[in-house]
Amino acid sequence: MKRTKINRTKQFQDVIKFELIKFLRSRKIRAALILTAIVPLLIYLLTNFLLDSFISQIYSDSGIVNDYQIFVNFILTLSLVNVIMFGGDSLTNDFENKTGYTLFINPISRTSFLFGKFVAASIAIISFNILFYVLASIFSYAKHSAIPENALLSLVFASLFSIGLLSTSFALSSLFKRSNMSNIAFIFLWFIVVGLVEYFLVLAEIKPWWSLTYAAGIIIYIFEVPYPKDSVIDIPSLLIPGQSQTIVNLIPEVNLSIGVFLMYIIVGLMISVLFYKRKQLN
Amino acid sequence: MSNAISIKCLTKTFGDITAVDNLTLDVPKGSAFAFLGPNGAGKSTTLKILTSLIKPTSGEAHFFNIDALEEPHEALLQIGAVVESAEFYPSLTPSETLDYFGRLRGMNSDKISRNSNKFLKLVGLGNWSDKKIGTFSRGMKQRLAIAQALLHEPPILLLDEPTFGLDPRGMVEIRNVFKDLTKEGKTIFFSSHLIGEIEEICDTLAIIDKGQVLFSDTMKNLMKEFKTDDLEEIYLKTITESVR
Repeated sequence: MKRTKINRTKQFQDVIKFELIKFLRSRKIRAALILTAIVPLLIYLLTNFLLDSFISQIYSDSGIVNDYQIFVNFILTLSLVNVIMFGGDSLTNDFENKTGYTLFINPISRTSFLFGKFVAASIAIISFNILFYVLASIFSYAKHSAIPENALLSLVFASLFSIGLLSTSFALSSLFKRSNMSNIAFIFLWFIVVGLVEYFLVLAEIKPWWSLTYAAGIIIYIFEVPYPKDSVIDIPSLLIPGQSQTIVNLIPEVNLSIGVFLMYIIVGLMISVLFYKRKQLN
Repeated sequence: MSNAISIKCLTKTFGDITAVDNLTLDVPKGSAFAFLGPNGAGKSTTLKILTSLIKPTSGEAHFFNIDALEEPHEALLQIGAVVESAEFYPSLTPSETLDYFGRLRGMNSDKISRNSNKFLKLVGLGNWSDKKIGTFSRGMKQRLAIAQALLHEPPILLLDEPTFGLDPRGMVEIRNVFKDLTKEGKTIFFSSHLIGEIEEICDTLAIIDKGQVLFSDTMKNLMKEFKTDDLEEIYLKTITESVR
């Protein structure tokens, strides 16, 4: 009997190629494109024409860095949305839509398949991050004739954060049979569980350094030179006009946060591989 | 005659339910082997185990001398399969889908392209090769499923209700494809409810119920034993006796 050696690296590359083709032809790519293009434009219009006086109250210096930080704040939400769109159903749709019945009867390694899907989703998400930063930079240049230092570094951090989120999405997706369930679990985890825990820890002045969303602060703070330290700041009260309120500003450390991003990527992928390999088409 | 498929003491349980119960079966090389049984008899579960879609609770399965459970990828190279109602990525075309699957099977581009054209024509999708699958009917997807099973020209075909969703003309066309394949010496393991279809294509048969093989032999011996050439009568008699 003639035995054929399957090239796993080639399979991995083929999965990336066909996943990207599927993304390019999907409605979600158009949705992500519209969202990524419209939001910076809206931020630019709102901050420069409609809310200028309010913004200048909050930020003493409405210079290039603060203006850019207003844009970049949105990258966290954009990442969450894009991860749900491009990664949320990655490991469930072949089981849910029964495409697995024609796919997994091929001698494909589940690990190569998972990594191929992960890289393809990462490429899609990072492409939208790049587009977002390009647009933010264009608007920054239009107003200040300059782009802030460290914009590229911020983009790298934002991309690491997005991949970390994607990895957790893959891990959850590998545990569930239906995309709806894994997406609900993902939103519940990041918006409710981690959000609340982080909120109370910060109130107690404890740094939630292990949290991906807390570590994501470096995407925004990296523009400030020198890099900021923990502080107590007064800002105008949103509830009582003319009064101020005190907030404790706990700043994530750059190196530790990069480590946190990497830890989420690695652990998330390990969990995904472990459970995805066991998934059966019952 | 050597066996293309050997199944030994195969068992699969889902909680309290035993879908496949100590099933033992040999499929001779070059035979058109029918796997006949009522709904829930364990036919699809057996095919899913053979195609590595699910893992058995216990037992063995071999394609020629390859252990399908220990070396699933090597075993999958020996087979082409149509399992359940086939679904494909709707944004891809049949050509792209076969290109994808051919690559996953380690085929070179020339062979993929040649076989893609050949088998899409054979199943009647020659003019649809560049149309998105999302626009296809159930029957067209089933034709594509058959084309993907043939793509790498495997020696064994595992077919679960392969004419499901096809119109009467399509059924005749596809049956003729299978008949030609048996003439070429391929081994066909064919699960179906359609007794007429089985009579037309298969020369050997196993009747299964409650996960167990009730009878397995050549069509000729079966008819001799039951003293009738009416397969439907034989089937109903076997199943009724099994229920008692």
